[in-house]
Amino acid sequence: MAENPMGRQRSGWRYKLYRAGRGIRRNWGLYLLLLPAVVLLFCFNYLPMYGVQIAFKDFSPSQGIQGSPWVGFANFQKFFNSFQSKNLIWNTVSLSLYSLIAGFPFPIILALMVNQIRVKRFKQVLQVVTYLPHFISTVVMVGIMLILLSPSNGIYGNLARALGVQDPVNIMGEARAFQHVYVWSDVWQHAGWDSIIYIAALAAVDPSLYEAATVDGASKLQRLWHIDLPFLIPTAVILLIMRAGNVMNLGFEKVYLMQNPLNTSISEVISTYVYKIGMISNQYSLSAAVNLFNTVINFVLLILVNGFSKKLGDTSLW
Amino acid sequence: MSAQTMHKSQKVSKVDVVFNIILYGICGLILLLIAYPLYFIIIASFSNPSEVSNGNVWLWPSQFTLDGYKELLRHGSIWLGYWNTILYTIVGTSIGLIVNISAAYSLSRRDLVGRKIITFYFIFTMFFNGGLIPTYFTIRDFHLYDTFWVMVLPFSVMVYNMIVARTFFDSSLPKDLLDAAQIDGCGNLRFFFSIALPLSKAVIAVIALYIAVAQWNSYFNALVYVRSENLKPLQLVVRNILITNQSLVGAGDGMAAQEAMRLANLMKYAVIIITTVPIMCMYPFVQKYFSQGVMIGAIKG
Amino acid sequence: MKEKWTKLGKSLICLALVTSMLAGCGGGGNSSSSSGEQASGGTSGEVATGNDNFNETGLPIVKEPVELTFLYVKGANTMDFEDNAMFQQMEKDTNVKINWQYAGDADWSEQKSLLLASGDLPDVFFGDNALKDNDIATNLDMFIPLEDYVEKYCPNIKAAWEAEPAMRQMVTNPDGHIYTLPGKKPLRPKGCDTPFINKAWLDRLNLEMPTTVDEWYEVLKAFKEQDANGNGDPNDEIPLTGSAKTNLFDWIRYINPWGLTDSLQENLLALDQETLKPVFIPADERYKEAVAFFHKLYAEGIMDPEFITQDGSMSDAKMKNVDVSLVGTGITWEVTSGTQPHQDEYVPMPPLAGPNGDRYIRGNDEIIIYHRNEYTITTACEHPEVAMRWADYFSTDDISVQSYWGPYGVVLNKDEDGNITFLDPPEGKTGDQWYWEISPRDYGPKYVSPEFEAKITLPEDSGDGAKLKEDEIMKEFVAKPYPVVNYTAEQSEEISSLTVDIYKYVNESWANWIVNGGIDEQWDAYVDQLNQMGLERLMEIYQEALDVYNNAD
Repeated sequence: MAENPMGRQRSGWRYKLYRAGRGIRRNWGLYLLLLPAVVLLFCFNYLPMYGVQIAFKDFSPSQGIQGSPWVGFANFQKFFNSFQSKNLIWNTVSLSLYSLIAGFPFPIILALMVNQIRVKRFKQVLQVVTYLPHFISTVVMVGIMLILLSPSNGIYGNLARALGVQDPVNIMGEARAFQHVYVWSDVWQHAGWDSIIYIAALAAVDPSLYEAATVDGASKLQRLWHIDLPFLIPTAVILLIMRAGNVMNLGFEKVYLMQNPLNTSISEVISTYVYKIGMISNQYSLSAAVNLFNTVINFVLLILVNGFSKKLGDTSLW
Repeated sequence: MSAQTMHKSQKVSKVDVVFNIILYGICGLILLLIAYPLYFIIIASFSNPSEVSNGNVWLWPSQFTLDGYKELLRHGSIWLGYWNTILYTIVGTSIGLIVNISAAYSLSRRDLVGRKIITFYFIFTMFFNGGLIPTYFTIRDFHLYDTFWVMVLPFSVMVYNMIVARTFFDSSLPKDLLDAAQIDGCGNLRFFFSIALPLSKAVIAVIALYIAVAQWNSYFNALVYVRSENLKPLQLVVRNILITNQSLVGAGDGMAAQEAMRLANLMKYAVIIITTVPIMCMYPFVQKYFSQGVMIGAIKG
Repeated sequence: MKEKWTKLGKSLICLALVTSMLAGCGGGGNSSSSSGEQASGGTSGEVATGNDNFNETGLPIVKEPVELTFLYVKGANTMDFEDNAMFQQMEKDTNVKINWQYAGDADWSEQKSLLLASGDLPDVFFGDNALKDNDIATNLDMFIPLEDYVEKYCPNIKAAWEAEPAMRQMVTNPDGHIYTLPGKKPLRPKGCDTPFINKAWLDRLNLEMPTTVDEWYEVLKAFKEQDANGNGDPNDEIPLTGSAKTNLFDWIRYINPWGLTDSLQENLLALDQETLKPVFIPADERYKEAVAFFHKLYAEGIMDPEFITQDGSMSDAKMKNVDVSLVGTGITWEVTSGTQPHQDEYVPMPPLAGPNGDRYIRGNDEIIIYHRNEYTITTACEHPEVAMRWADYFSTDDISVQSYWGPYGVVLNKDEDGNITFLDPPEGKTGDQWYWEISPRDYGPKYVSPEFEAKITLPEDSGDGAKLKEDEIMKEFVAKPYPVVNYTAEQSEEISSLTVDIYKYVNESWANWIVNGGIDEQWDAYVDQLNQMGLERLMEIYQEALDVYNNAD
C-alpha cells in the first residue's frame, strides 16, 4: 500500500527498520496487550537481577550485597571440589530425566481416554478423582507412601504376605527402588492434573472431522490416533521443551522426605545437598552459586532442545 | 455431539466394542488406583493417628475421632486465613488472567514485530532471577511490603501459563478468522476481545484454574513479604500450626517433643481436607468449558 | 453487543496498565541502598548514660514510657504475650512497653536471612530459637556487646553469673565480648535418657531385669521368640524400635554402654572420660563393636526391620498401639509419658553395663539446664541500657518462675512464706501442655536461685516432676559431655563444609553395616576415607574450640 521510501533496496537494514516500524504501528494494540506483563517483569524480575553477584561474593547479611567481598569462582570451586559433586549431578540428572520421560506420556494418554468416554457421569468423576491428588501436600504424600509401603503392617506388606511372600522386601530401604518409587508416585499424583491442559485442547477439535472419519468407516482407535493425537502435539512439544529446561531443578522437599541413610547414595541430589549445607550454617553464596550453575545448565539445555525441535518440526518456544 | 453422530450411523463396529471394553476397563482401574489413597486420607482424618501409622486403618476409620479437626479449628486465625485466601485467589486470578492471556495472545501472532525477542524476554525470567534478598528490597522500595497487593500483583506474570496459552491460541484459532476480520476493518484489540477470547474459553478456564490453584496454595510470598497477622493466607496459617509442632520434635525437651508430635499427627490429614475442599469445588465449573465443539459452535453462532 | 465487549476490554486494559505503571514508577529506582548501612555499630567499650528519662536503679526503669521492639519466634500454640498477666504487670512496673513481633517458627530461617540482610532489625531478639550461634558469629557488628551494661546496670544477672560462672563462660565470644544473655531453667534434671523395659513382658516370661548388654540381648531374644505380650501371636512383638530415617542420632543413645556418650548437639562428639579429649564417635573402635552388636540384633529381627526407613510418627505409633503393647524396650525422656497408653507395663531400667563395664547415660547441662542466645540486643536499639535493665528485672526469681511456668494467680500460687504451688490446669489439658501455651517457657533469659528453687513444689503427676524423680536414679550415670563451645565464624564455616560430606558417609556406612553387616572387614578403609574427607582437621577445630572454652576463666 504505502510506498517504499528506500527505493529498490528491499533487503537493506533501513528497509527492515522501516518495515518493523510500520509493523509496530499497525499492531500497536498487540503491544498494548503485552505492556502490563513486560512492565511487571521488568520491575520485579529484571530490576533485582543484580543479586546474581552473590554467587561470586562471600555474602554476609551484615555487609550487604554491595559490601560483601568478591571471591570470584571460589564458591563454584567449593561445590565442584566436594566429594559428592559428580555423584550429585548424576543423581539429579538421572532422576529428573526419568521423571520427565515417565511423566510425560501419561497425561496425554489419560486425556485421550477421558475424551473418548461417553458416559457423562463417569467422565466427570474420573476427571475429578484424577485431579485431586495434586492437592495432597508433599509431607502427607510421603507419609502415606511410608505407611502403605511398610513391609510389616502396610497394605504392601499385608498383600505380599497374603500372596505367600514370607519376608517382603523393605522397599523404602532399597537404594535401587528409590527412583522408581519417586517417579511413579509422582505420576500417580500429577498425571490427572497435567492432563487438564490436553483435555482442554481436545475441546477445540472440530467435530466435523470425526463425522467425516466415521463416515469413512474409521474405528474409534483410528480416529483417536489420526485426529486427536496430532492435535495435541504442538502443546505437548512446548511442554516438553519447558520441562527439559527444568532438568536440574529437582524439587527438594519430596526427595528430602523420602531419604534415609540406606538410599542417600542415590537419593542425594543437588537441592537436598544445598539444603543440608544451609542447615548447618547459612551459606548464601554457595547456594547462590549452585543455583546459578543449575540455571545455566538448564538454560543451555532449553536452547538446545528448542533448536532441535525447531529443526524437526515447526514447534518452538521462540 | 459425536455420540449422537454414532447413533445416527448405527454402525458400532466390533473393533469399537473391544476398544470400549478396554477403555472403560483401564479407566475403571485408574479410578480405583487413585481413589483409594484419597479415601485413605479421608478415613485417616477421622482416626486415631497411631492406628493410622500402624496400618490398622484401611477400610474404615479406626477409633473414630474428630480431635484433628477440633484441634485445627481451635485456632481462630484459620477463619481469617480462609477469608484472605479467597480474596487473594479472586483478585490474583483476575489480574493474572488479564496480564497473561493478553500477553499470550500477542505472542501467538506471527506478525508481531520483535516476537522472538519479546518471547525471550519472558522466558529468560523463568531461569534467572536475582534471588530472594534483592527481590525483597525491590518489593520494599515499591512500598508493597506487607500490603494486600504484594500477594496479587508483583508475581502475577506466570510465564509458563503464558506460553501454554500462547500455544493454544496459536494452534486452535483458525488463521482465516483474523484475515477475514482484518478485511472487515476490525482492529487487533477488537478482534482479541470480541472474537479470540470468546473462542478460547477452554484455555482461559485452564489458565484461570492454574492461577487460582497456585494462588490458593501459595504461602511463600506471604511468608517473605507479609508480616501483619491479618494479611496471612490460609496456607501460611495452617503451615504454622502444623510445622510448629513438627519442628518442636527436634528440641531437646522430650515432653514438648512428644506432645508436639501427637498434635502434628493428629492434624495432618484434617489439614488436607480443610484446605482443599474449597478449591476442589472449582473444577466442575471449569470442566464445563471442555466439552467438545464449544468452539466451533461459537464460530457458527 | 460487540461494541460493549470492546469498551469493557479497553477499560480493563487501561486499568491494568495504570495499576502496573503506578506500581512501577512509585517507588523510584534505588533498589539497592539500605543493605549495608547498619554495619557501623559496635560501641564496645563505652556505655551511654546521662539520659534524664532513665533510672539507673529501682523501678520504673524509665520515667516516661519507652517502646522496645522484641522479636520472638513463637509456636502456633503459644498465647500472645500481650495477653499474659505477667507481661502486663511488668509493663506497668517498668514503664517499658514491649512491641512484640512474632515470627512463626516453621519458616523462621527464611525470614531470618531477610531480616539480617535487610537491616530491618528489632531492638532485641528474644529466645534462643531466634538466632543460632552461627548467625551471631558471622554478624557480630549487628549486635551490641553487653558485658559493660551487665557490670553497671544488672545486679541480678551479675549475681547469677557469680554464683554460676558457667553461665558467663558459655556466652563469652572468642573475641572476649558478650553478645547474648544466657538462661538457666529451674528444676531441671541432669540426665537426658531414661532407659525403660516392659516389666509385664519380663514377668510373663519369667525373666530377670537385665544389667548388661549381653543379658539385655538374651531378654530381647526371648521377647522376640515368645508371645511376650500374651495376645496369642508370638510374632507381633517388636523388642526394639526407633526411627533413624534422617540420620543415626535416634540410635546413638543406645551405645552409651560402650563408653561413648553423645553430646546432645548433633555433632557426633563424645568426650573421652579419662583424657577429656573430644572423640568423633563414628571413628572410634568402641563404635565398631557397638555397630556389630546392633547388626546382630537387626539380623535376628530383634531390632525393628523398619528402624532405618520409618518416620517418627510410625515408630511412635508402634509404641502407642492401642490393643496390646508391641515394644519391649527403649530409651526415652520420661517413661510414663513416653510409654502411653501402656505406661503401667513399663519401668525404668538402670543403665546397662557394656563390654568394659561402662554404665553411662547422656546428659549435658548446657543443653538441658542452661541456654545461651536467649537475649540479644541489636545496633538498631536506641536504649540498650533500658533493654538491659529490663532483662535484669526479667531475670529475678519471681519473674523467672512466672516466665517458665505461667503467671502468679493463673498457673502458680505463691503464699506468704514464698512457697510456690501449682494451680490445676483447665479441663482437658495436662499441665505440660498448658505451660507451653501460656508462658515463654524455655525461651528468654531467666535465673532462679537455689534458695528460691527449694520452695517450689512440682505436681507429682506432671512431666517435670516425674522426670526429676527418675533423674534421682539416673543422674549419677551422666557422662561428662563435649561442652557447648563457641566457634569463631571461620571455624563454624569450616565445620559446616567438612561435616556435610562426613556425616553423609557416616550415615550411609552405618545403615549399611546395621542391615548388611561387614563392619570388621570395611573398618580400616572407612576410617581412611573419613580422614581423606578432613576428619583430622575437623577434630583439630573441635580441640581448639574446647581449649578456648576451658581457658575462658
